[in-house]
Amino acid sequence: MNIIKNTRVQEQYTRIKHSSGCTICLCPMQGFSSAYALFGTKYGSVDSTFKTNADADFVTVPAGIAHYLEHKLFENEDCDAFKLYAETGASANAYTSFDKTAYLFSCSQKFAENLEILLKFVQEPYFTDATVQKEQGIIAQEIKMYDDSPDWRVFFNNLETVYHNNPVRINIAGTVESISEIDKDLLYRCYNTFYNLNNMVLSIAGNFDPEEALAICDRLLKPSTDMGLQSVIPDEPREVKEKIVREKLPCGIPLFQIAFKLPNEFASADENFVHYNILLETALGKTSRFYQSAYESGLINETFSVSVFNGRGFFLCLADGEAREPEKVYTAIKEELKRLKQAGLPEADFTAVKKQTYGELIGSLAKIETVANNMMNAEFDNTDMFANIETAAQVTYADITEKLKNFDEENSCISIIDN
Amino acid sequence: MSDILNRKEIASGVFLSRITDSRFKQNRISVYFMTCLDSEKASVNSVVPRILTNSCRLLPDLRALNARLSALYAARLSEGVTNIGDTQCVSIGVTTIDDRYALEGESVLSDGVEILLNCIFDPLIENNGFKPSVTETEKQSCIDQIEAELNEKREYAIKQATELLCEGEPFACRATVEGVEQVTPQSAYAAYEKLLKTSRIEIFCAGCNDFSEVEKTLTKAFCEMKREKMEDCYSEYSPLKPEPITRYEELEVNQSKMVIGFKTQLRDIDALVVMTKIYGGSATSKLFENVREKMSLCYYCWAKYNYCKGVIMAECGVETENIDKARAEILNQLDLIKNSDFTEDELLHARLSLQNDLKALNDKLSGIALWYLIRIYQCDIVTPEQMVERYLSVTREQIIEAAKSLSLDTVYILTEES
Repeated sequence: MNIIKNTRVQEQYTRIKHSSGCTICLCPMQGFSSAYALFGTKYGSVDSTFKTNADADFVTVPAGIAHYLEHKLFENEDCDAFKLYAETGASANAYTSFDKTAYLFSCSQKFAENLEILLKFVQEPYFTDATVQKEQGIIAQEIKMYDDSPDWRVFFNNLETVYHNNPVRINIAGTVESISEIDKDLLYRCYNTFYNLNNMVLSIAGNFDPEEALAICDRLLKPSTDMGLQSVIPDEPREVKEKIVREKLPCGIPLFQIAFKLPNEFASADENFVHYNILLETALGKTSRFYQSAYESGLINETFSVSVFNGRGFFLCLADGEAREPEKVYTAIKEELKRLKQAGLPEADFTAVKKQTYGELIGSLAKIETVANNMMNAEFDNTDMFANIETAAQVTYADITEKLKNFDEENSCISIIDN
Repeated sequence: MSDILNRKEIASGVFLSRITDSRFKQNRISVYFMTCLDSEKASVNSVVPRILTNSCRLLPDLRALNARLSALYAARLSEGVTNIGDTQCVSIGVTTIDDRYALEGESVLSDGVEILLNCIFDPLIENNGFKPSVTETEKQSCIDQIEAELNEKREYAIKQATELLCEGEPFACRATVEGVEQVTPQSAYAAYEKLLKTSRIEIFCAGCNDFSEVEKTLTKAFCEMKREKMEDCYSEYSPLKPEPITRYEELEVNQSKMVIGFKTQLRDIDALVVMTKIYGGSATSKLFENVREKMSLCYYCWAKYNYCKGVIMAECGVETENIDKARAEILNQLDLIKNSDFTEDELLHARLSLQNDLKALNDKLSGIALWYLIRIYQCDIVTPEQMVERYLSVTREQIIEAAKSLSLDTVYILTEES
């Protein structure tokens, strides 16, 4: 057990490597009404090729299986987990991302019962041919719903065009065709591989008693042996696959997303997320000269934003929004980045953005769901929840200037959705 | 009950409420201008708060304003327009981190309040109007937002259904491209002056500060305004159509969206809230359990209640060939409640779920301010905890009565092109 403390923000949490293999992060927060718990596995849509010590060879599974498994795990032999939560009034959900899956609840009462429900159902899979079949209709509707969403399409089209081989280019939920190949045996195989407690984190924040939580963990977490899991992400060329992708969908105003491709290994350096966010905000964000002139001339509107999209094995800098002439925005952004390389970033803008980033990170510590998610994500990234705050507090103008110097604005792609 | 909020009238028709809670790390000041909704205001008043948060005389362009906000540790100036029943709420607010986290000991909250007041009271003015270039930029931004409504098909379907459901009523008035195009710097400025003079103004200060200094600053600023007789805003229940209508809209989509609108004249709001929860308000509701889980027809199928208008809308995304099947089952599930065909467990789960939702409200700054704004509007100022007690006392008979009071009014279907 160790206490992870940050003196700057005067906050701390407890991290425990439990005897079952599971890592547990606990952050009781005084005065809050609710508790928020996440039970997550380092398993997402990118983990499509894998093996353990028990397997002779690597196996590749159909796209969308991590997400399908998330849907099916709620159903146990006697009833589904939603019904059990209904008895306590908790609000429960789950999500699958590119590199993780998490099951969660938030509750303002009966915390112990809710934690028991969470730990039990995630550790007790029950799949039959009939229950697996039933879910196909529901997930097919989920996929079709996203197919009609220009926001979603502009993003996935971009990933498909930036990446050659990285499985991040494949839709998290798969396709109506790929999910039809999923059966109970494949679900069990993926479950047994990735839902090993050595690959999992339990993260709890808000109003709860840590001793009570640990006693429940001692009772319910089933000891697991580390099976030497290996998940393979194929080699990826540094260059984008294509420079432009366009799709027609009903939309009021064309949507665009520009992705600047950075080397995959950037994802594993802690400070890159904060540094590149600060670089993008300083160069193109709301305080920048670019934003003001592009906004006032009507080239972009208030939906324009910049961000870093990163995870296990992928790292992109993004600029997106709505625009009547997306290609002009793309050209203007590249020109501005080139200009800034010559002229230098305005130091006053950097200082304002540094404070902005730090302020946003502090603000997020007051939300129980963000704290629980940040503790879990930090654990999967082998860091701690306060690392980003420290990076933001300590970043220098020279750090960001250095990042800009090596930024290749031409290694990029634009995705456009229009009518 | 208004002592829950320390609510007081700081100037004629201007009310200030303070909610202090040490667990927060931020402070939020929200100013709501409440006015009776009509089609003209729907458009012009959606441009006004954008102009006010674009710049002010002190910070005369977007970049200067944004740079100042960033330097205040991501202080956020927010604006918005929402309809609460037949009343339009134009809001402008600022959120800052608490002073104790400032790296260089700055007074973040008072600086944030100063920016907010400058935006509200000291905009850039030319020829009895707002600055023309700012007006044009923000008109365009507003038009973009209206046109982009089509992008999110689910929300678009709900908006279209609402227009049909409450056709001709203030609640159905939305900003339109044509309405916004007609806005001039002078008409926007006149609308702004009217909001300052006659709207009811509700200010919420929520966060970890005790806001005594903020109250003094705000009182001084709002007392200097020339106020006229305050508008009286209220909402009326939506009248039931003589016959239910069904409208189809065709678009190039992969999945159809269906919205089914019911109306009630019953005033037992608490019973209608609990009834809606049982019907389609959670992952164990009748709609979710049957239309999604048992019949695998939909990924989402929910019901929402608007208590200002006496309207309940059930919505789902569904394969075109399954529309009739889904509609029949959505109507059938309501009939079951009318016929008392729901278990004690279903009632208990609805109560517990409401209890959980309301207690969690206290943990979010934005949630608290909006909760009390609506409570004040409804002349029913209670804490979320007090509301929970009321929901717990709703009986089975009340729920059956609530379900029986509902009549089908409108079915709207967004479907693929034939």
